[in-house]
Amino acid sequence: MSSLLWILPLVPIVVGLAMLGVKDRRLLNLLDVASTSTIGVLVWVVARAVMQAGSLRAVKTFYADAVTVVFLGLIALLSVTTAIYTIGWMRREVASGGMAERRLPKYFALTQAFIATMLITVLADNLGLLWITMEATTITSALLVGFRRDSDGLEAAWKYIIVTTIGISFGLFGTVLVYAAAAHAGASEGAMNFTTIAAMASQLDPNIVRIGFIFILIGYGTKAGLAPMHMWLPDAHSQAPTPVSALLSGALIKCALFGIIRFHTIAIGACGPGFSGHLLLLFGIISVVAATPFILTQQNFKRLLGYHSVEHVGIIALGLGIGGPLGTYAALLHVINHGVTKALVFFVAGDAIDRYKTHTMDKIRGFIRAAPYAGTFLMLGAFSLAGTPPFSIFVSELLVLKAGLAGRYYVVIAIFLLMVIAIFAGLIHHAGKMAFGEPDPAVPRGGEPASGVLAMSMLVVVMIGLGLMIPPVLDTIFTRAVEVTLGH
Amino acid sequence: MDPTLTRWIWPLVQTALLVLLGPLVTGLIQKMKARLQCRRGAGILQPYRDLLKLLRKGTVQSDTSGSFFRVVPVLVLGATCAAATLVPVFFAPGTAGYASLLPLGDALLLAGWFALARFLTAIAALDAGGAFGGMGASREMTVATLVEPALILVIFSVAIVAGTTDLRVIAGHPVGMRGSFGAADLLALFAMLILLLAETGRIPVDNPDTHLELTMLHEGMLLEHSGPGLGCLVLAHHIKQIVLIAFVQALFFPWKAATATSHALIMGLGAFLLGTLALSVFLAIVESSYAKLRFFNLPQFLSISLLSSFLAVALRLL
Amino acid sequence: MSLDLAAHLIDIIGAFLLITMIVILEAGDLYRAIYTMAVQSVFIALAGAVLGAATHNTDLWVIAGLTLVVKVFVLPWLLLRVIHRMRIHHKIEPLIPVTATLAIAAAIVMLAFYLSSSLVSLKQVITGNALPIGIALMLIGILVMMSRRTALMQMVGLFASENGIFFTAMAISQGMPLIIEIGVTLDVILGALVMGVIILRVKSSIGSDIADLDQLKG
Repeated sequence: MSSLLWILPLVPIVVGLAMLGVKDRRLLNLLDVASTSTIGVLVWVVARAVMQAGSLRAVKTFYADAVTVVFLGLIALLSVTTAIYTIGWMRREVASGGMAERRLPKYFALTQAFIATMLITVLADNLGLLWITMEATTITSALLVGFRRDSDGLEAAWKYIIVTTIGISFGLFGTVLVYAAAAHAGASEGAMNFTTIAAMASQLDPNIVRIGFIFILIGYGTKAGLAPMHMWLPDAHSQAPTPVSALLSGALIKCALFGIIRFHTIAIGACGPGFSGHLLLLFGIISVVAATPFILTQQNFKRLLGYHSVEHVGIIALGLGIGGPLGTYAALLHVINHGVTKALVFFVAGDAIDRYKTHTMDKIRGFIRAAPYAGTFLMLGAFSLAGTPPFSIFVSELLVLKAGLAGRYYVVIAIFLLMVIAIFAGLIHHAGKMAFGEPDPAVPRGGEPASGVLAMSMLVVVMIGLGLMIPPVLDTIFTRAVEVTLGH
Repeated sequence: MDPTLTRWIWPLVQTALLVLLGPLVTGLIQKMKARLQCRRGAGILQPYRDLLKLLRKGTVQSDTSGSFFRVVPVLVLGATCAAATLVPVFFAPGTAGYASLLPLGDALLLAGWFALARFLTAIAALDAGGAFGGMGASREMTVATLVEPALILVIFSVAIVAGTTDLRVIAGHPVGMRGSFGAADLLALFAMLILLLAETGRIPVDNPDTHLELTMLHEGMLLEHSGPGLGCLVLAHHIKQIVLIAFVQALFFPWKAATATSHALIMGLGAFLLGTLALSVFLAIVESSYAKLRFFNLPQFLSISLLSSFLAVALRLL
Repeated sequence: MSLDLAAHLIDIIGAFLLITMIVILEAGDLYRAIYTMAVQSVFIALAGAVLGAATHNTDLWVIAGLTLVVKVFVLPWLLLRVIHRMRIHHKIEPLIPVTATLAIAAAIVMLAFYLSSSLVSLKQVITGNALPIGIALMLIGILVMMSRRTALMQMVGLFASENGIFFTAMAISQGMPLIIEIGVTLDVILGALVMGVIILRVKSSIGSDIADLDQLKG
């Protein structure tokens, strides 16, 4: 059973290598879907095993506990839906000339590699391995961001790789410091391992861990998109091909948050919940505030979504910062909720951009008439992102609110509410303008790829489902994850 | 020997040695440069011949300058020789023998003598009323603005450890006793080597062989002088060079005689000559390897030494 | 080699690293920056060798050798190839005046030393002055990246910054696990390759230096 842990990332690696030799688009799509579905099944099995056994370990460095399961689930779900969406999307891209047929194997192989690196990141127990695979995700995704070779895409890819590599070198330094603290406190063999360090966290020198955590937060926070290190995010997420954007916004920045959560656990053990919590709170609220004006004045559809990701990452950080069982639960729930919803809206955006041949939101009108399914999903997704019931994001944001009030963070919550209201107004305004009205006669109507609709529907089901209720299985997983994070 | 006599003898002997050896060092560097550039080059004693030739020549002076102009070369030479008395060459008794030393001054006074000499040269150049003199003077002063703070910071970084700014006392402590040669020493040495290039007017700061007035810094100020006056200024330049070399050695590689035994004195003298040779080789190699920097890029280059010396002091204190 | 001697040597190597970092910061020319970075990496390799001899940790010798091969030869060669392919003007235009950046660098070094003097317990774990020098190098490397418009100069700054992190990591008395160092080095190489590819792609399709592109705004 525990050997599944290292088989899991091996699947996309093997399939990716195999894809390099395949030329046929449909076969590539099939391999894509097959690989990600296999990942989904394996994740489900691993989740069950973890729930029974508490945690799994394989080959000394792969480790899965409840927190891992949460993130694995997100990655698996998004990979599958993206693979399904890519079927229709790629057909359109090749037909319209946006993607050259002979480059398809590389694209698919890179995507598989990207997914593999994300999987290893959340499975890593060794903090150094976590760092290495995090950097590897940057490298693979940078190639994907710049895949289309136009100047904007390359500029975005360059900014992305430079800024995140700087940021992540801060993260490396923080890792080194935490390792030094663990080595000093006497850990010998496992001084790089999260489990070892977390177990002896109370013996670590709090000063070292404090400085280390600051570096970690700045470092991994850059990768996660926390302000003020978020400058690369709107560029990269808007210039990338749509499926890649979905994976970036939905899954990758959450993986960076995973790294932060691991170190947060260590910091809680070493310095008490106050220090790291307050820092997370600070960065969280700064992100929310920094993203809002750009969301309100945005013209470019996908950049809007990019800034939105910054805001929601801020909310997750806020939840973690408020802390306690409720805040952490809210944060972890939001990881899933936002990932699902953001991917959905990116899919919709991809469809809209293809159809209307423009990124500017002003030029997109009457989407519901032009593409009934996608248009409806646009409105649903917009409402969800804005935090309306009965969608999932409403639940997690409400929980953050509750936790904040319980912890007496009145000022923070007030600012948070203000921003959320502003964003609600802005988002609904944008979405409404795009969805309703009469579309330009030149815009093609109908012809929505079934695969796209399927992918989007799957996400909508999850979105609404989690908004209406949280199934007990998931509840157990989240509760367990919260316990692990808080160090019990 | 009578103690009061020895108090006077050491400074006199060491100063005389510096004055006599100054032109030789210049000649040595010229010869090495020539060899590196695959030329025969002039002989090592050529600077002496040049000085004697200048002494025999007559003086011509610009119409706009007066008697002050004639006096300045002597004053500059005097200031430089005064600076030469402050640097220990081979005898440095350290704190133990401090009381027996003539109170001539410390490293800061050395910087002050050089500043005075530079100031007088610049004034004379302006006095002569020529365009190139003025240009050379203003450029030299710009370089001085960047060089002197760095020099003082270097002195401080060593003085913090030695507890005094008197060079003869600093040099009296062998490096090992002062604490081992550490990071701060290295940074200060790096800064000092750049300063050596700047103060002696060598590439990449200034080209001592140039005949183009537009590229002159130091030479530009000497353009209007002639005869014995020019001879004094040239000799002052030679002495300044060897004093700086001795300065570097006193701060960073002091192997001087602590007592007046002949054995120790010979060792000290040998160490001094060896160090002088090494630094001369360094100067020759740097001069042959690089090109002169454009004047507007000089501040950038010199600020490296300022930063280095600043960090040396900071590292000592932190 | 005794630990005291090792600490002393690390002190001196740290000073050399600082000096090379200052030269990189001041460099007006890509070639000088790249060669100075190579020299800096030689010192890092030396530090690894010294620490390996002192702690009898064979891992450090491997790391030293790896650093020598990768950062002294492979990475500079890569950068020089990109320059050659790009046929660019190799003078560097700084965004902030160089003297200002040097002043900021001084502040960074002092901050690093002040910071590490307050982390007394860490000093026992990390030999010599490797911690403040490492922090200073990392931050100055980032300063180089932020104040230069040339893409290749940004890469040089990145590598110099990683040198700083390596220096601190090597000096931890227990040593960093070898796998991690190898993994990090591999990441650096791959990252450099990808960056080089992006730079060349931009050059060939648009003809400008990528760091000059600033179309994406707002």
